[in-house]
Amino acid sequence: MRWLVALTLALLLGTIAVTSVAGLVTDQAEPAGRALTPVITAAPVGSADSPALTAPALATPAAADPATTPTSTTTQPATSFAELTAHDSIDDCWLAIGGNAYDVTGYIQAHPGGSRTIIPWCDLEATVAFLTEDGRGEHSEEAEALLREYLIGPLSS
Amino acid sequence: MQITPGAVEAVTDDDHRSTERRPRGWTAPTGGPLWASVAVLLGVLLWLWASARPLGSRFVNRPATLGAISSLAALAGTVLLAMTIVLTARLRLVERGAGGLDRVYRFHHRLGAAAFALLALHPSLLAWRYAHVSWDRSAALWRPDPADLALAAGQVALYGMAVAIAATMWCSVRHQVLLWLQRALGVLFLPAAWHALHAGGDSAERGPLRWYLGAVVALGLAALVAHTFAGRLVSPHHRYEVRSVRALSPTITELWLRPLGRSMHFVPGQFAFVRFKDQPIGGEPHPYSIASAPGGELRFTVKHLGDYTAHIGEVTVGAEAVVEGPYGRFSNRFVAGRRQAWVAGGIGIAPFLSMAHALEDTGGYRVTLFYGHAGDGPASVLEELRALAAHRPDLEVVFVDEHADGLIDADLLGRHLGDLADVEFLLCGPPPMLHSLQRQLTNAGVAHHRIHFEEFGF
Repeated sequence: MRWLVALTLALLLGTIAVTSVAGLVTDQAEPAGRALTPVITAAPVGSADSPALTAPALATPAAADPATTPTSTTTQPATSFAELTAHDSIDDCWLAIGGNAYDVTGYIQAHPGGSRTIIPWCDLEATVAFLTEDGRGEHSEEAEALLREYLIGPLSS
Repeated sequence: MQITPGAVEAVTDDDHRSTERRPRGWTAPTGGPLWASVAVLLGVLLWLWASARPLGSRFVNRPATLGAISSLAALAGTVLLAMTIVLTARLRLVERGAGGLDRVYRFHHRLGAAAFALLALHPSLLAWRYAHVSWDRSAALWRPDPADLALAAGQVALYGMAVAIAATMWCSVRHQVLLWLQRALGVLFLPAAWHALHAGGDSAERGPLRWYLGAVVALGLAALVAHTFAGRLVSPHHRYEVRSVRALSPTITELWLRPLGRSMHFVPGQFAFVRFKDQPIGGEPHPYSIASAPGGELRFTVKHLGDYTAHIGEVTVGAEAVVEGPYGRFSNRFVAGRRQAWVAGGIGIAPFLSMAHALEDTGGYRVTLFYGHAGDGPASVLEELRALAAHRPDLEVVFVDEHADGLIDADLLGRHLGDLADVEFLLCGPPPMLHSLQRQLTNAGVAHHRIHFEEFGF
């Protein structure tokens, strides 16, 4: 079984090398202090520091892909927080980020960080958790762009 | 003829000359039950995994597909890893199912390689999945994160296994180091199991899949604890004392051990693990074929094959030894037919010495022993065999000096035995000899179930 072990080690070391180098290069290419997109703010909804709610930034409809197809790509009336709290499971998960409501049900399984990092935030205010990757870092620009595809609409105050 | 486990039946030989009760618990030598066990374990896992959520949702796009295969690889790898731990516990039930401990260890090697391949595939696919969103997130998979103990545990297990397996396969290390590396692989099951149950994903959600994985992990842990801390409960241990140590040749040492308490009962042809206490060569157990007939003292003829056995002659008379066993399903008594050809290559003569000395206790056999040696067969062993043959009408010995006469092959066997089809062949020697003779005998028309062998030096 030496050939199997050799092949395994080659695959493993190759993957580590490629992803590590790519991660290093990507990290060096990104400017420091990257500005957040306007739709996402740091202050949670309802806090004294929260800015006025902005109009939703609508994403261009994504290409037909069941996993990333957002539930809504049109302007929606403001969603109340009470309504948000009714969607609190892995099969029906809404959350609030930067004053907007997002339906991330179709994305939970595809989330690179795993479903368990999103599920606890279903039906909750998740701005800080999203911005800080729940205390582990910060999401990439690609992740922020992806989030916009799941926008429902603004949250009402 | 096949005997079901646990049964003791009276059987007649092919010539209906005599009957004898066969040892309990013998099964036909086959790895079928082990493969069946693997198939069942993985089959149940696959079914539970597929039932956990709609399959369609797992393969909706490339990242999700990578994640799904990664998850399945992790779960399957963990199940196989637990099974390898069970195989190393030297359980009698497992040995019977496999048809011999040598087969158990060979199966363990294959299963271990497969488990490692799956466990390494898991993070590799996950890294490529993460790369669809962020290379940095992908690279972070390989770095320790103090906030994520489950990830750290998985990294420790994976990196540790990679180093240990690579070292055992490609590095020339002392036997003692090899044993420590093998122990380390067993210990690495602990962080691997922790990661499997706490890293999230499919096994994080409460349900049949999590319970199943937990049960398999618990089985592996139980086997690890039992083998490490309660070996005496898992397999019998006997206390012996070294009575004599004698060099039969520059490369072979003979040891005689006398029992200090209850002696070990064994069937001629079986082997045991022996470790010596308080000796300079160390206290690790090593397997040796028993070269004496059952009853009282044990005799081992050890060839100097490595850094440990090369110093076996330094064991002192009077040293205490712990003998674990017996193991093995290689014996003339486990074979149905009484017309038998025993073929020994080099130090493979050891189990046949035991069988030859015990022949008169059973009766009804007609045996031709072919002993192939490269001109370095110990003179005392040659004389011993000649004496046995001289006094036993049921035993004929054919000496084959490989330098002068060439290797033992099917032609030579045919010239001495005549019709090969009705003969039971017992082979013991280096793997190349075994495989070559097995091929030749099969080509000569000998049925597969009449060729019996045990790989020496597993």
